[in-house]
Amino acid sequence: MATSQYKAIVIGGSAGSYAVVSKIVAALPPDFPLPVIICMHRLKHVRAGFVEALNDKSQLNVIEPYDKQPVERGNVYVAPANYHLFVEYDATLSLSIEEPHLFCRPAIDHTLSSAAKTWRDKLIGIILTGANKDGAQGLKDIADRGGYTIVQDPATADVPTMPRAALRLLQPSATLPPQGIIDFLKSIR
Amino acid sequence: MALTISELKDIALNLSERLKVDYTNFADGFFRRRIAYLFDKMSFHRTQDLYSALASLVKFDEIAYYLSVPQTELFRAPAFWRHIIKTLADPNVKSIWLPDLSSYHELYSLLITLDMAGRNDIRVVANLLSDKAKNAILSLNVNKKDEQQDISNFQRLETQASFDQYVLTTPDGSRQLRKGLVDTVEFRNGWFINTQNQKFDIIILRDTLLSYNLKLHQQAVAHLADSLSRPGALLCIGAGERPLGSQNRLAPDSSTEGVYSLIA
Repeated sequence: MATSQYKAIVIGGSAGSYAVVSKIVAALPPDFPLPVIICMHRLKHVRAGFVEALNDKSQLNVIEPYDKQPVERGNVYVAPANYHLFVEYDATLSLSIEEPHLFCRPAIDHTLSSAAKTWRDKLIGIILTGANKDGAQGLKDIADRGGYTIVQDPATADVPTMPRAALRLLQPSATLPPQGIIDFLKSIR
Repeated sequence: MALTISELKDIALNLSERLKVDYTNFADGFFRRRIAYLFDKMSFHRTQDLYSALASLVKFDEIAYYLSVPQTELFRAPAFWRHIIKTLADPNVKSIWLPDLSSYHELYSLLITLDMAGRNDIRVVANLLSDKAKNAILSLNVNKKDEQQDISNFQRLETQASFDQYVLTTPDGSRQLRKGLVDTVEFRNGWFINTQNQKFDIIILRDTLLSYNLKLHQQAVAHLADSLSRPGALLCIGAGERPLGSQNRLAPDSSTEGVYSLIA
């Protein structure tokens, strides 16, 4: 895959996605060329431990971003509990406590849609397993702007609601099992 | 409806002039979303609807109300409130400021915390931008829909008190804050950045700076740092916020996210 055409990767997941995300961040090499932004539904009150556990597994720097933090390669940004995470036009991240979307905060749609507006066809969007349709519209926004879209194969999802919702809205660039997603990401140079 | 960049700029200018809040330096993405929310809530279909409403005293207040983002739970981030309970053991804490109150949640959480700590002697000042928000606070009503989250947060405070001591059921089945707790609060109208010559031992402004662009964020943090009474006085912002531009004046607390003390 030619890498220079992409600027970032955004990943959304809900129920069952921690295990997949965990494998993804563990597989990415330390010189991975793109920043990764992850929005997962998670318990509101659990702030400690989640990111630390991912960071322990990864050769990249896994962090919860602070508001207005610039996006840089070498980092994996995880949406903090109880905050929406947006990508701004200047490639910084912003947080918000605006109203929950589809009962979710963070909402995957917000992260993916805002990233699509910023990076347009230079973005890779991935939707993983989950029990909610949040994320489907955001992935469609990425597809509509020419970005590359991947949906986890619902047959391999712990809870297929989220990938199925995405597949109802768009024809993704690829539908892959978790290992296929990892292999694709590792092929990026 | 999709507004153009020039329409948004025009709206920001008009709102700033009328509400005395610098909306021209709100974060672009946030401002665009909030205006869309405002249009939806107030059934505006074009910018002229907004400008007409700005001329009406009642609707003007409602606009200010909807532009603020309310907190949605009592004792949001319980670890923060546990930190405040510990801090209240310090007799030097005599005043607390809530500079931009958009809903009852932070104020009621604070008032319950003060009561649990036996510190009802502390002066509490709260700034608001709308009478609608103030009236909602004075009604003492607590949203029953969010109660499970409120109770869950309260239980994480690990105190001897019970939630039902403070949030009571009324004869009609609704839930209200215990009477009397709000009575001593000094409410003030207006944007906190326009205030001058005030000093407080603790300032709580969590998740409001998220609405601002970097320039306004830095201006706000500098103003808040100037409003701290003494070295060691606390500025409490959201866990996802940093006191950008004033890090050399404010030291982060090592145990609790979002808590900063004024450096000597």
